[in-house]
Amino acid sequence: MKGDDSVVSPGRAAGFLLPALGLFAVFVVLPALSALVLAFFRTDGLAMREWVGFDNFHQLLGDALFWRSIRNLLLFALLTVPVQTLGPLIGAKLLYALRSPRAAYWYRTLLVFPVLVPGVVTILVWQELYGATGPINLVLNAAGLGEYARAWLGDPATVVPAIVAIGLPFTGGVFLLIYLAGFLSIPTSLVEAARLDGAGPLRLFVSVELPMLRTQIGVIALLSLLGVLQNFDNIQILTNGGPMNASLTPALYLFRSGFEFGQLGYASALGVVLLLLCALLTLLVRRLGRRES
Amino acid sequence: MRTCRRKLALALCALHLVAPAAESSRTLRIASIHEDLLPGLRVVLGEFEHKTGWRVTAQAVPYPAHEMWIRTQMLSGSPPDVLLVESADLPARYGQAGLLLRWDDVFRAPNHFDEAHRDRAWQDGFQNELIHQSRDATGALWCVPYTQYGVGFFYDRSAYDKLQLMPPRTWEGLLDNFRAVRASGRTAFVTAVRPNDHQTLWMADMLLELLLRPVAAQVNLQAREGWHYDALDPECTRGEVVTLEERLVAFDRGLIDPARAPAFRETARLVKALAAEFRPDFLSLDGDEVPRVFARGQSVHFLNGTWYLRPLAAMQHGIAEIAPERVFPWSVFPFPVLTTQSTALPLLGGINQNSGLRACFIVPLRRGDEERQQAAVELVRFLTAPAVATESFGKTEVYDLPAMPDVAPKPGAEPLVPRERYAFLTLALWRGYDARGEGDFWTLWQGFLGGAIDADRFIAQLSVIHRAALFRLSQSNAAVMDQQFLQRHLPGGFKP
Amino acid sequence: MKKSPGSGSSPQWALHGVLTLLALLTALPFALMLAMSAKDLGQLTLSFWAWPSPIRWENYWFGLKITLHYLANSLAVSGAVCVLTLGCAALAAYAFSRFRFLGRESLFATLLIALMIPSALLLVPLFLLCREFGLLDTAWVLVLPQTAGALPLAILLLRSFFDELPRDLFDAARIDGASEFRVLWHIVVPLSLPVFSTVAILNLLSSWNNYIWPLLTVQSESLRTLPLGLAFLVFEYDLKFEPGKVMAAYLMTSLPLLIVFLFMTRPFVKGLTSGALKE
Repeated sequence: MKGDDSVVSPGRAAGFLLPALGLFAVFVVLPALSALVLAFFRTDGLAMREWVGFDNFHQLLGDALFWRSIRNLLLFALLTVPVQTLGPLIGAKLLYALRSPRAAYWYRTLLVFPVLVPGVVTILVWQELYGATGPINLVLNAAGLGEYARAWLGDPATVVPAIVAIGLPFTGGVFLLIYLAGFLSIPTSLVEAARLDGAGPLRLFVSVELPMLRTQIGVIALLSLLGVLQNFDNIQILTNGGPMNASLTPALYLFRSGFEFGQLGYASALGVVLLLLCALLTLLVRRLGRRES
Repeated sequence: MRTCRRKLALALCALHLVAPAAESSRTLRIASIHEDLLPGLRVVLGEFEHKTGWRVTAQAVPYPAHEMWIRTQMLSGSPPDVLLVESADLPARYGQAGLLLRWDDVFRAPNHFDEAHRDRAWQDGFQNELIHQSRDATGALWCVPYTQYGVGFFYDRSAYDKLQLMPPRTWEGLLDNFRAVRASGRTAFVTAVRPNDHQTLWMADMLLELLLRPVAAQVNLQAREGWHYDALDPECTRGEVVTLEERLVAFDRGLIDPARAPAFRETARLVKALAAEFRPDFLSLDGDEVPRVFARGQSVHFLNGTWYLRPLAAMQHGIAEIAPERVFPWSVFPFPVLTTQSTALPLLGGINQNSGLRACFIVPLRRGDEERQQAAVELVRFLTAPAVATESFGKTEVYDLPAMPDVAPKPGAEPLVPRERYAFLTLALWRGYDARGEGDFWTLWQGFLGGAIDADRFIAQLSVIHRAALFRLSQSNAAVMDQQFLQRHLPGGFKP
Repeated sequence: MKKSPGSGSSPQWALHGVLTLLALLTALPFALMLAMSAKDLGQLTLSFWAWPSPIRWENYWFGLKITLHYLANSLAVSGAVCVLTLGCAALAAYAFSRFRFLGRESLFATLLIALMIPSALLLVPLFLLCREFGLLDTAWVLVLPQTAGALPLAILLLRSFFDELPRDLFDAARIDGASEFRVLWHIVVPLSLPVFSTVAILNLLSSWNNYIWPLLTVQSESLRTLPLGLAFLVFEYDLKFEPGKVMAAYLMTSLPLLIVFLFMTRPFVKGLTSGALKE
């Protein structure tokens, strides 16, 4: 549909593009390039600054803490991505299957509202819940299951599942809305046809709705995975990577290297690795998606 | 469209509100990681402005994120003018990185705010051992002591009465009491072992300091003429410092090497014996939960310092409103003494009750603004002048012991005021000498106390950690060390 | 009322049951927050599950009082980010959509590639950059980088939407001799309100919750945005032994967005379902 686009002078185009591209260049492109350069230096941001070539990367490859963070990342991803992808899907299906749109509206509001609570509040409230003398342990003790009571965030074995569990019951949020939009865009003719064939709700789900939602599922799985890779504020607030580095992820390690240990060059090297991971994953998922359709 | 324009206008107005007012040129910023000391500071800041014309704003730094907060402040290039931090570790790290003002020379002049002692050096207005504890591994002074904590065992008096126990004087007495409590079905001792909770570390450092005394003279080679170590004379170590060079030599000779100095193994053994009586979930507890467990009556003892007198009272007050029967009388007793029964190693004097410097001031270096730097130093002088400090401490609910002997501790903190003092010289630190090795130390210490690592492996690994830290320090400080001394005593250099 | 298209033979009572359960689970932590906010330390230590007696109404007032300026800061910053993002992205998206110029698609592709850049990578150099520009501890450091980061997605969404607009509209305007900017302002913008709301809401949410960047760049207490203020709350106001007041503060800060969104969910969902999210 390119036929009717206006051909404009570069000056005019620049005028429209400048604000956005200007901000983008200064605050995204410049730092990104700068990070790539910083990765080859050892600096504390103040007095010390020396060229070390690939030293940071060598150090990275031999850093036990880095590999620990990768391991933790895999664990986080394995736990988070499936629940974050499938949970809202099930929620949306349930909502979609409701007969009364009014009820659907209210349930949807109820399920989505945690999105509106400041994220920090959710994290801090859950921190309180997970305390050694907090409600979860209180309930366990009262129910006679006291032996299962523990410091959920203080035990290396339970800290990662505990952090992931903060999204319980995983059926809400923006993803629910995206899926719902997807469901609503399924042509009713298909649904009617399937139902005429005698398909029950389950077969309807599997053979009609799931295939139609493939794009959304892909997008959300990717978003979820990228989220695990990039987000660390919840971990930072809850455990700062502990206990004993059991919840340290590469992004958090980057943050701490730069802003706690003062190793800005090393942090940038970590960032480069993280960038490669993100790029790789995005390209992989897109290629998979393209091949399917 | 109209809404867009309105939105734009609103946003611009709001941005104006949000942009900070231009900082007045004669305003100093002080930040404290101790929120309980802040009210006391705020009380006296008006007087400082009156005396010097410099306005001061005070803000709190959240304790859990303070490491990161301070690092980013330093990075930003405009950190607060004065910071009140905890212990000498952070000052040592930033000082060695060249970011802080060094106090050695400034301390020699009198504190002109201290009108009662105009002829005395500012340094002499502080407890001697706190000056020692304020120094880093190379002997440099990067912070000014402000408060010290008295550490003691908080105990449930009603439980003691019921079991007919007395506050123990000796180490064996303590263990006996703990065992008696456990036999009666209650938890004897609750603690946490975490980088943000140093209770077991204090115990280890106190024991280590005691057990290493016999080698003090052999470590402190660069002592003044005619010096010798006398444990019973606290003043004998005034002015004495263990420098990095002396540490390197001492370590090489095995005097402070965990693998070769028996004091380390003995310390580990003693603390491990105590660990048998810890509440079983001590590895997963967080430092914050410990006093709460005690306040609920779920443990008969916990080890902590003067700063918990106030929160404990607050917790009990809250409990009293609901269930008065759950409130129990409690008190504190100081750390017990070691006797010849406790250990086979030679004991010179008793245990030094002060286990640490708590709050101390640091002043980031401010290049290019001498006047401001001077004003910051003046602020620290002002805040540590006995008259001002007395008012500051008096107006808070802080029970910390002041670092200045001329300032009286608050009533209620009495049992934790150390009675006897012995000559204090930090020969070695239990957890190592720099920040890099600290993570490894905590993992190791937790593993040892939790039973995953045995004593031999622990000692061997501890030695590795200490050696690595000293080596790193020797590399980064190579330019400022006394190379002649090192050549003479450590001809091969310090090996990693 | 029209029946929902997806409904059919599924037993409605089962659906209602499961959905109610899910809704309850979702609300549980916040119900606890509500419950804890009405109590004081004594009540929380000893009678955690009991009905608060007495109910500590002063907690809520206190909570509101201490968090009001954080709310105001967050509102100002988020509002500025939204407006700035929309403005810049609308201009750029219009250019990408309607103009033909050299390097159009490669420039657009660069923007999209930027979506793959992890934000953590940029933290260190961006901090140093803002330090050089003297932006640290000002409102600008909170607004500009966030806007820049939000631009790729916003431009993507807006361009997709603009591409779908019927060409005849533009032809008609061009015959009338309108400048491109007028076309944008008077024709395109009014038609794009759904996608504008989507972008605005997405931006509002992410900037409202931004914790790490303010943590690094904000030094004065007066400039703190909401997440930062809440995380520091216990220390700034010495509330270690007042969990009730802390929970009340959290509660009071959750209300504003809730109220805003009670009026905004419809346009948001409309924006999503209008195909703005087609790949």
